[in-house]
Amino acid sequence: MTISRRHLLQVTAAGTAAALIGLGKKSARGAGPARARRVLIINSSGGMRTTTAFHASPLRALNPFGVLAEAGALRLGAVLRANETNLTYAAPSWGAGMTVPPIDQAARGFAIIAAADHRPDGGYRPGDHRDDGQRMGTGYYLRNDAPGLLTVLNRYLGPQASAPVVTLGGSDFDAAPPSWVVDRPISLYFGGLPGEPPTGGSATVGRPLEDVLDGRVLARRRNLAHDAVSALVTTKGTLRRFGPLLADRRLRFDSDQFLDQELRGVTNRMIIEAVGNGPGVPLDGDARQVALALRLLQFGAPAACVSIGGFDTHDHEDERAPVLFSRLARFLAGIHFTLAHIPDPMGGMMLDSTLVITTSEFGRNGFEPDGFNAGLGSDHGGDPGWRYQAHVVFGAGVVPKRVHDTDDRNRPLDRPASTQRLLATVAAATGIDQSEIDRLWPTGTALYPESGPLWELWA
Amino acid sequence: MGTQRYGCALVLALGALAACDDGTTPPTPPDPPPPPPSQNVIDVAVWPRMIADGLTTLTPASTDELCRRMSLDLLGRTPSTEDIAAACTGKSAAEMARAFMAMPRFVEMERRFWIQRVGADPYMVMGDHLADADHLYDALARGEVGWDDFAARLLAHPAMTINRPVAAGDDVTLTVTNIFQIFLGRSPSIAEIGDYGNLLRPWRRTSERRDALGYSDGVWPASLDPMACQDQVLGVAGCTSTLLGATTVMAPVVVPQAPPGFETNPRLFYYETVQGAMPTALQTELEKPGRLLATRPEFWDQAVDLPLRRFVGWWRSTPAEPDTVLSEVTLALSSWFAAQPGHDVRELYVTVLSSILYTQSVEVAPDAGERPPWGTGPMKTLAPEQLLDSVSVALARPLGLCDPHTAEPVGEMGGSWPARLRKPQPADWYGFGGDYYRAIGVELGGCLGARQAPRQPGLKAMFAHIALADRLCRAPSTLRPAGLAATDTTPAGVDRLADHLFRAFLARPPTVDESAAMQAAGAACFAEAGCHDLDGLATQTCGALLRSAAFLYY
Repeated sequence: MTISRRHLLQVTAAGTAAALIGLGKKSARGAGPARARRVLIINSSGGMRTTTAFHASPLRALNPFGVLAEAGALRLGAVLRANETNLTYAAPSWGAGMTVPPIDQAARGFAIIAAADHRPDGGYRPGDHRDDGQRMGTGYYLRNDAPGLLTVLNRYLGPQASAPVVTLGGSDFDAAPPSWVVDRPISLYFGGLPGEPPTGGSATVGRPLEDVLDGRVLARRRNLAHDAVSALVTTKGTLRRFGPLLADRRLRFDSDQFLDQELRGVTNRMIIEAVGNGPGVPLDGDARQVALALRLLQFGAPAACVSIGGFDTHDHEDERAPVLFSRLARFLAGIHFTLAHIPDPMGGMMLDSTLVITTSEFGRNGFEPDGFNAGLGSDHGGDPGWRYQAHVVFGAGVVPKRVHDTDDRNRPLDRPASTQRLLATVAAATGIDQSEIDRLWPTGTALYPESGPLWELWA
Repeated sequence: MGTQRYGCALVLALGALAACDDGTTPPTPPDPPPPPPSQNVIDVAVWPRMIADGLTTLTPASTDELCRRMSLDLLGRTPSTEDIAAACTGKSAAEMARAFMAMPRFVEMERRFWIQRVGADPYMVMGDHLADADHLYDALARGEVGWDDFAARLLAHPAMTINRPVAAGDDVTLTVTNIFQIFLGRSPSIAEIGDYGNLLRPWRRTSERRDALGYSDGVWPASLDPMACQDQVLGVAGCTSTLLGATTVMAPVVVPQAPPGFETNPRLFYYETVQGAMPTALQTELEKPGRLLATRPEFWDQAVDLPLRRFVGWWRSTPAEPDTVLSEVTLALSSWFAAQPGHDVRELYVTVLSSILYTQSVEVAPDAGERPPWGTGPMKTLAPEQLLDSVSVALARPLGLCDPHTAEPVGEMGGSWPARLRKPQPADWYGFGGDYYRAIGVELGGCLGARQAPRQPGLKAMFAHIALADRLCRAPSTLRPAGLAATDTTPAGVDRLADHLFRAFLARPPTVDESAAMQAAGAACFAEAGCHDLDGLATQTCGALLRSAAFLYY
């Protein structure tokens, strides 16, 4: 059978462990207090054409859908609201007459890193999903010892947290080489949560015996056999620790029967309304994944990554992109709305202490004259539209601004941000010791030529 | 100088007796390295590597460890008490392997392996053809055909020759790719697809009805076209291969022959009219593609790579050292197998299963240092069906069955795989409902149909496994050994229960530390109202065993 991971602890009142993560923790470099108690990554899997979306180009070749509006630091593409057929904005369970502000309003509070490059030295990138997926998740390609960002966050933030670090949908953010196997976050799916705490055995009889059996095997294995057993033991640990939480009905977004489950005044119904999958439209699995991530953050998860698929639009992008991007924009607007309306037990609202960032493995090429290839889609590899990605960042005190800007052809005006700097910034924002971050992503290198995190987002 | 001395030492270490004259007088030469532990071709091939790594003192697996490993590999389940007595106790590794392979269950396991490996399902190849191909897999497992004959016959069979999605139509790219992957271990080049595809030109696949045979949907019978190799434009070249070895020309003499009672194409020769009994001359002609592949060395490399991967397992490798790092083993074994009369795969299996790569213990003392992957025995994870069938053995229940020909649930009357070809599984497995075995197998990531890609159910499989363990370890399962009272909470009673359950689930008695843990668990249990006696302790122990790494890996 396929194995993941786990550990032991009764889930305490949600939010209490947030104190342990600590907004007041100083980084070793003295770069200031930690800026975020938690992180939410929205990863567009397949390669998102950012030149049509949050860093919309006025040029048709790069953005065949046109520009919707300027919104603060962002220039939004028309594709972000081009097809909202199955999206809802009404949020009556939040209050009579409430609606969720659309992306063109929400985005006024967003910052944007307009040009990020996995290889800021301009070096060759093969430009396919495998290599750039690894680069986005870990900062490296073909490095067998490079952990994913979520794995890093789990190592340093997970042990004290009251809810697990999770990935929802596949990405390389949970990459876990051998020395990081025990830190790999668990992977959840909104439709696959257990009905009962998935622990098994009693705490006094069965589990201690199981631990002896596992411990004996673990101590007597080497190489990948050891890693495999280690992964199993870690997964068991996570399930024991978070089992009652994983079986909690407040995490259940797979059925209407759980809509009235609530945590500190926020019901499941409120969250699905917030992310645009309210009554009257078909159940949207990605929306429910986002809802689950938000609920886990509310329970105290230090980090979550939701991967939304379908962005590898080599063909029929003209038809598919309006639906895809409108959903993504609606999710982001919903995340902003939800976090802005849920109090953080440590004070303020969750938006004040949650860092949200969008990612993808790469952008997509421009095509003359009308923006599409012969299949009415777009490919990847070889031009600025593909190479320089725009990442949206908001929450946790991030100041709405544009950094590492580009010209209309998506070429950096100065220099692009490195992906490693992006990863290091997220890690540093949560208060992970800077010396640990420096070991993973050393500054002043070809892959991370900058001198430190992107603190100007907060300046 | 240093390099020369190293070179000298290496020569000595490799057992060569050649003089090593580097201009210095070497100190007293070290003792020559020990010889390989056996003349097994794998042992001889890998021995220089073992010497170089200082691994000449190996820890063989105990009989219990080896017996469980081999039973799971060959029978797909942990050994029962009877299996251990009949196939393991007092036997060498080779004798164990032969004893397990003599059991009917081995043939069933090999059949399942080949059905899934060939990957033909009744939605693209007529079900009767697939049932017919099962006889070929069985013959291979029984030693009735050798590897090269098996390949020739399978590549002359519809299960391979028309095996591709219906949507592919007459495009043989996927068929040729599948054939190359299975028998050469690689994908074909574009040129090879066209070249080998010429040899498949006589084969046709049509869409027809066979309702009288129990099919309620359209079926995909195979046939031979008498005119296929007599194309007026292409001529003989259309059925000729020139890239893969000796020039091979397909020239089958085919006389149209159709099954009566159905609407068919009268110009074709339908395979179903002779299924399993093809005229000798025609069969010989159709076997040419397989015979051609067998002339290539990579054909024999792939023959040995299959059991090496299955039995030695990928756990032996590290991310930086793939299985191919032991290329000397593959090459030596390949040469040996190609030279064997009869090319009986069972002898190949015996060689792998009795080699030091397989028979070493997987266990390394906790305080011992690192070892290279080939310095321990293999470790593999229990596949879902292995897990379920091992539980069946432990709890003395009938084994379940997921029909690998189809991904359909048991009892489903699929139109392409008629009821007469279906093999039902035990009804109401464990009292959990008629399709429970398959349903839980799917949740665990198994019970794959022939063409299904492996699932990665992740954490959901873990949830399913934990729930399964909770269910299985309660009544109606009988966990206490006969004659042991539930009220016998003495240390002796706990020891007896532990011995019974460890043997049932792990095919070995508990170790000293595990026995101590059982006594501690017993003490904790008997102090609790919800556990309190041996039945309660048995339930907890059963669950702990099922969830443990000791059970989930082998």
